[in-house]
Parts: sequence; structure tokens; C-alpha cells
Amino acid sequence: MNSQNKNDKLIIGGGLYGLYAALYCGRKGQKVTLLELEPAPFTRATYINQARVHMGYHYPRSLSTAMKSAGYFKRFVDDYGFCIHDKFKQVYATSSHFSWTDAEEFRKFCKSADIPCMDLPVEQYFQTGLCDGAFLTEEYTYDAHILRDYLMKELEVLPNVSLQFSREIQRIVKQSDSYEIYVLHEGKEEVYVAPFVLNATYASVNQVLRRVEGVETQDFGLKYELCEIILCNVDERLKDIGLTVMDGPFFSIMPFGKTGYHSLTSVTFTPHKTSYDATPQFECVKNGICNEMWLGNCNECAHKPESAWEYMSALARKYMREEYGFTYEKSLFSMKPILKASEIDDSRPTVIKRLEPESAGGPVFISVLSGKINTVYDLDEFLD
Amino acid sequence: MKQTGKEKNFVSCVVYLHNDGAVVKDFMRSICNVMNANFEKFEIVCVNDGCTDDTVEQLNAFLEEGQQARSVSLINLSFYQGVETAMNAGSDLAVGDFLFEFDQCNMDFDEEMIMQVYRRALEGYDVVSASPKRGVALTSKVFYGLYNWSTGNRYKIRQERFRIVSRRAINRVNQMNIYVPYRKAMYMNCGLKTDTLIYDNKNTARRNRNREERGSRSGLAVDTLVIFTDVLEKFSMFVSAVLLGFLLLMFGWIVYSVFSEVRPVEGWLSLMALMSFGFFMLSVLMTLIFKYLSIILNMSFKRQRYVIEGVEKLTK
Repeated sequence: MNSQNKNDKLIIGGGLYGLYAALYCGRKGQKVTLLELEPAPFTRATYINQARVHMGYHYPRSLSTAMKSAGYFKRFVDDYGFCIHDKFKQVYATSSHFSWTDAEEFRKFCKSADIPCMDLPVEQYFQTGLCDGAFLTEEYTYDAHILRDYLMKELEVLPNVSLQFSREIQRIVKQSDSYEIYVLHEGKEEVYVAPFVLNATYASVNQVLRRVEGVETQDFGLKYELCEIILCNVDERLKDIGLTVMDGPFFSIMPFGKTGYHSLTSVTFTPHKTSYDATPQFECVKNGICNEMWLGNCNECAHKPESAWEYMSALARKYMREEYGFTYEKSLFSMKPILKASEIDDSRPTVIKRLEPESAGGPVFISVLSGKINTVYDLDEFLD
Repeated sequence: MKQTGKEKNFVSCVVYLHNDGAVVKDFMRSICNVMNANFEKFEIVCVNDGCTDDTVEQLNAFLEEGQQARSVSLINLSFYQGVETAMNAGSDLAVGDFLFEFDQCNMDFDEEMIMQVYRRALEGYDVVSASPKRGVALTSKVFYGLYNWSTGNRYKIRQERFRIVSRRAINRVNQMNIYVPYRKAMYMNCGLKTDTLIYDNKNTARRNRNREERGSRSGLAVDTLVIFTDVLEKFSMFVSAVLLGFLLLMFGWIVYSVFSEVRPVEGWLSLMALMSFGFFMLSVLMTLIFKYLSIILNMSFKRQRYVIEGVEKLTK
């Protein structure tokens, strides 16, 4: 076996969680290898999402998620302020109809979660009668590409960290004191070995688990949604405003990092297709760029769904006052896994699972699943 | 964007479902046909108003048959709440520039009628209804007659199968009122141009309503008359007038009996005079109270003092 492929830690997945973990361990002098299917980092969910740095407003039905977000918010803003756009008014509103919350509840919720929330005149932003409360909140957006470039630059100077892109995992074999990961790279097989593996592959977390041999694995209880984020050009008036209507089949239009675009998403129309299987099973997989083991990048696939722009924009226009104009620029598609257990309270816990209990004494295999960028710090205690 | 020659407006179809398992498939198929043939984008919002039969299963079965519509949502009401409440929920969820409101799954009109109504709306009518020519129940006729007589509105209401409403009209209704007890009357009172197209219905098969539905319909009829019309005031004024007539008659008789030979029982005259005066005053009081109540109703229920159809600039 090639000795240069012996590591302290192996990390699967080149999103934020993977890169963060690589940097965290790399700075401690550990020998780390990161394996990523794509030819570059940050090409999927880390980039393709609402780019919210959550302060907790999004979870009025889950105080625990809200408070945790609020706790990490400040730390994330301090650490990664350079990639954060905070010079806009983030307005949350509660819909008059079909909402799981209302203005009064939302105020109370913000108070309990101890996050700032100031009443705004509803009709400054919304059509009469459609929202019963509007609030100025403190929430920012991050720019995934600036964050990526920063992390890549930091990682470059660490000789003990190697980032291996275009690596397709074939098998993960448990040995007595380590895991061996067999990967395909340009048709050739490579082997990487380490006593610690972090599976930070988000939508592929179950697919990775199913490649593990020599130990019993258990799937995360997930469903999958193929999601579309629409990037919009907005009028001057909307430039420095983000609008989010809560809490139900509504929409959000807010700045997308520092790109100058706004992202438009809606609860009803952003998910195009849903798969309730343990691993993502979609009709389009047959024709697309996926292979039988791994999902391709939906955003680059010719078989991605037709945009739901007309639906999302009609929804947003129904709520927003006419003077806030926006036009279509482009769509981004990505796969989003959702924990089945969190549907009722809409919480987004970070779930971190060890394959075997600590007491077993053998090598460690950890899988992480989190839907938020600023809860990345949850990883720390598992990496030490 | 593709050039298809289809309508660019985004339309929503709100469909009321209440134990329509037998017809929902055919109805949805017709709607989808018309929509797919004429519109680039549309959505369907179904409202399940406490169905106890297989309506929802039939609806799902229809959707599984193929990609007929890209966006179909279903609102499940917790229990039976009546067509008005249910359709309000549906309209609140719909996002289209124009909303078709199908109050029942009874397709007694030609598919072409849907587009006729739509085109009429494009001519500048914010609300256009389709109303059947035949088969209107007697009770409904009495209600509409009473309503139209007592409001004296420019736009008369009739029994309607479906209608199209512009987003503008919906916003207007939301601005004017706190809640919408009876949509038809609201749309007619919103001050925008409305129209009704009457069609010759193919079949006059009426829906069988159960007791609960009938109860809710008649309750709604009473509410509507009380809120939107001055029927109560008119009625109590009418009673006052009758009693006034009676009072005058009484006085006439008293005067007559003073000068004539006829002598009724002792005390009869004064008692009758007192009673007719008393009832007359009571009835006048009732009229005043009704008037007073209707002013309070208007103040608390209606938000806008005046309704306008639009503002034009006349000088160029």
C-alpha cells in the first residue's frame, strides 16, 4: 500500500463542513485528506441555498433551533465577516392567512429567543391585508464564493492537508484500527487510509454510508427535495431590502451574498421533486449525469426541471407592493436532504452520528448532517 | 421563453370540493384541458371542505394519471365549513393574476364558457360570472329577488356556477372589509366593473344537499340579507306604516263614534286607541334601533368610506 495515503483524518465532501473540518484539523498539524466527487469545492448545497446566516428567525416553531442559531450567529460573523453582507434591511413578515404563526406569536418568539425584532409598518412593503405584521430583524447573508476562496487560501499553506477532487468513492472498508477508502480517479483506483473518517456529504450522506463494509450502518431518516433557487435582478428600491414571509407556503427574496443578485425562493415552488427513499431516487436520474451510485450536480445537468419562475414570482408579487420590482436572471438547482423527524416543528438540528460507540475502541467514522452554515461549529467537539 | 401563442397571464383555478368523488375526475380533466390549451402557466387550488367520501382519493388518482398540471395544491379544511369560508381559503392561497372560482364541480357548461368568461374579463371587467339559465331552486330565486330588490345595486346577483376575479378586485375586497361573509355580494359591491354571462345549461341536475349544508346555506342567506341589504329596516318601516294606518283608522272610528249612535262597550275605544298608539310607537322605536344597528354595522364592518371604479385624467 502506498504510504503517502496514510492519514490522521479523512474527510469526505468539499462543502463548507468538509473544508472547515480540514482546516480545523490541518491547523493542529494533523495529516488530512479531503475527498470530493466534483472537480472543485463548494459546487452544490453550500453555494446553492438562500445564503442566510441564520439568527433563528426562521424557526418560530422550534425555539431550540432558534437559540442555537442565535448563539452561533455572532461567532460566525466574527470569524467570517469578510464574506458577509450585512448592509441591508432584513424584513420578516407574518402572513395573515395560512401561517403557522402570527405577528403576536412572532414577537413573543423573538423575545424568548432573545433576538432583535422591531415592528415596521406592514403596508410599506406588502399589499393590504396579506400580512399582519412586519419586523426589522438582524440577519445577514454570506457569499459562498468569497468564503470558498478564503478557506482554499488558508488550506493552501498547510502542507499536511491535501484536497483530492474528482474522487469517486467505491468502497469504504473497516479494518481493526482504520478505515480504507477506495476511490476512482480518472479511471485509476486509489486507496486512502485513516483511523478517522468524517462523512460531510449532505445529500449523499446515506449513499456514502452504504459504501461502508465490515460494519453495520444505519441510514439517516431522510427525504430529498430537488430545489431551485432563482437569482433575480432587483430595482434600486429593493436593493437593500430582504423580505421573508413566514411561516408556511410563502416566499423569501433577499440579497444573495455580495453578488448583487437577490435570491427568490418559495416553500411551495422551490422544491420541484421529492424522494422519500433512503437514498435519493428521482425519475431524472436515469437520463441525467448521475451514475448508479452517486448523484450528479443537478445544477449542471441537462435534465434539471423547468424553472418555476412564473409561480414563484406570482406568489411574491401577490404579497409585495408593486414598486419593488425584480426580474429573472438565472436558476440554481441542488439536492436538499430533510430529516423526516423535523417536519412537524420545522427544526433543523445538526445531526452527528458515530458509526460505532466510542467504547468500541476501533477506528472512528462520523457522519454529519446540518442544514445551516453557522452551526458548523457543532463539529469541533467531534474533531478533537 | 417559448412563444406558444397562449395567454401570458398567470391564472389560478380555485375548486370547491365537497363529496364530489363521482365527478371530480371529469371536472379536473376538463379544467386541465382548457387551461393547458389556453394558458402558459396556471395553478389549481382545491379546497376539501370536509369530504367524507373518496373525493381526495379520486383527485390523487387523477393526478397520478399524468402530468396534467404543474401546480395543484389541496387545502384540507378541518371540518365542514361551507362553500363561502372554503372558497375564501382557496382564494387566499391562490397567487394568480386572475382567479377562477368554481363553486362546485358540476360541469353543466361547455368548456368554451371558461374562455368566454376570461375574454370578457380582459375587456375590462374585474369580476365576470357564469350563471346558468335553468334549474335555479325556488328558495334561491326568492333570496336573489329579495336581495336585488333591497340593495337596488347596479349589478344584480344571480345563481352562479363559476366566476373570474382579477387580482385587483381581490385586493380591493381585502382593503374594504375585515372579513368576507359572502363573496358574490362583496365582488358586486367592490365598485369595479362586473358582468354576468348567462349560459344555457345542458343538464339541470341539482346537487343533493344534506341537512348540514342546507342549514349553512340558509344561515348564510339570512346573514347576507342582514349585512348587505336594508331589508330589516325596510321591513320594520313597513310594519310601522301599517300600524300608523291602523292608528289613524282607530282615531277615525273614535271621532265617528262620538258623533254617531253606535256605542261600543264601555272603555273599548280608549283601550284600542292606547294599544294602537302603543304598538305604533314600539314599531317606530324598532325602526330607529335597526337604523342605529345598521350604522354601527357599517362603521365596524366596512373599512372604506367610498368605493371607486377608477380615477381618470380628463385634461390631456
